[in-house]
Amino acid sequence: MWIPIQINENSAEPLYHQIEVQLRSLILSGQVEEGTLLPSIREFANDLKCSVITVRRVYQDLESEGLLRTKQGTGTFVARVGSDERDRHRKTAVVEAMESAVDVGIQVQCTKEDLKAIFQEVLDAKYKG
Amino acid sequence: MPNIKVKSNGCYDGIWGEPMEELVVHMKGIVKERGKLRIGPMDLDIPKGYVTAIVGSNGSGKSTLMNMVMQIIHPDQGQIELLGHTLAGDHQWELKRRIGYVQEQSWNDQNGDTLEQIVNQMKYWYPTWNQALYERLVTVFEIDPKQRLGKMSKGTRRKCEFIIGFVHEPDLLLLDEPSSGLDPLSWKIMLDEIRAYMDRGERAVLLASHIIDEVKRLADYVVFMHRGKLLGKYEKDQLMDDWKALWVEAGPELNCESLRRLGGVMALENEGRNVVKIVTLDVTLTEKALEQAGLRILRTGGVELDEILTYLIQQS
Repeated sequence: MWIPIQINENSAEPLYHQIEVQLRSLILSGQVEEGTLLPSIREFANDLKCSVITVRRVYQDLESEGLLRTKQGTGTFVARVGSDERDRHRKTAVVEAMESAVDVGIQVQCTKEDLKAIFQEVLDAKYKG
Repeated sequence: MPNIKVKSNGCYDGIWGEPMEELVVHMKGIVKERGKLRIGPMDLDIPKGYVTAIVGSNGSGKSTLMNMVMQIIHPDQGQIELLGHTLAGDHQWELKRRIGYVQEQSWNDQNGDTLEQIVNQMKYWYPTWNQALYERLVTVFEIDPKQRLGKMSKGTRRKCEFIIGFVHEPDLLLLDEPSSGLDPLSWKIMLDEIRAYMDRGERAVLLASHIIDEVKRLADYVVFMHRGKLLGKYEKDQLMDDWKALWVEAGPELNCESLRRLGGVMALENEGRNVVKIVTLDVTLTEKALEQAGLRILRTGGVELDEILTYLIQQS
């Protein structure tokens, strides 16, 4: 199966971290459903052009977080994610996106009031009708 | 985040529950003179369960290294342990049965043979011969087993050579420039087969290449070689993480040359318009140093494996 993860080779963020963040997000948002069998470590590594060491690390980190579970001889599956955790993740994703937006605003020297006005504009436009 | 102990050779130390590395090849104090080229002295360990790539230009000595592992030639000095056995100058046939070799150059001796003829001799010699795998590869690679190798196109012959080295599912697979002459689809098929073979058991692949895409797709570890010398063994992803290009805002009052002394900096280029490009082998270290110096990073970029090799060569 194909998992939509993009590695940015130009980023200073380590590969294993980039993959972990994206895979965690895919699982918590429900895009990759509970019970899905993930690709073998080497298959995933080939797809992403990274090493098995990195993928193994990602699978093990996410397993210790409770998001994945490994069945010896079969493979690694997506575990059941509680709704609390999903909600927390949704909130975190939005908070992070907003923080990035505010950072951009600060860089181009917007005031707090400027940003509030812009936010309201965008909100109204998106939730129109 | 776990406290990671990285050994000097860039290998992680079995902290994620997997057993400590078993070695398929252990080389110590190896020296070999080949005409004008002196290979070594070098130590090299090839771990089981991983793909190790030896990266270097032609003439770096990588094929000679492979030939020593295959016992085709013997080192002048030093010791080689192969699959747990010490090589002592005599041919150990039981070990040869457990290794597969896809050489860079075709064997002219085989020009008059068909794949079928070659394979009919081989299947009795290799106890692990996988007939089903052979048949599947002949189909998937669209090979005529009754055609003489000498009459085949370069790509088709390469596929045959791969089948010959691969289909007995060796414990150690040596690949010397495997994608050479192959069309992209065939290369993709070969990659999938190598991946599936690694997944089926505890095997090791030793790949010699100067083609970056081959190395990026396959390798877990990278060993750099230049003019017979080993420049280092690294975990591939660690290398890609650590080596970065940083574009730094450098006002006119800044002495750009002073940046060279910052931790991790391998190269520096003044790009004009108040921008200096730094290449670092330790992005975390250099970022910290830049921050302390109050300098702003405008952009970050990756550094390709062949560029890394160039910098390592310059440094050596």
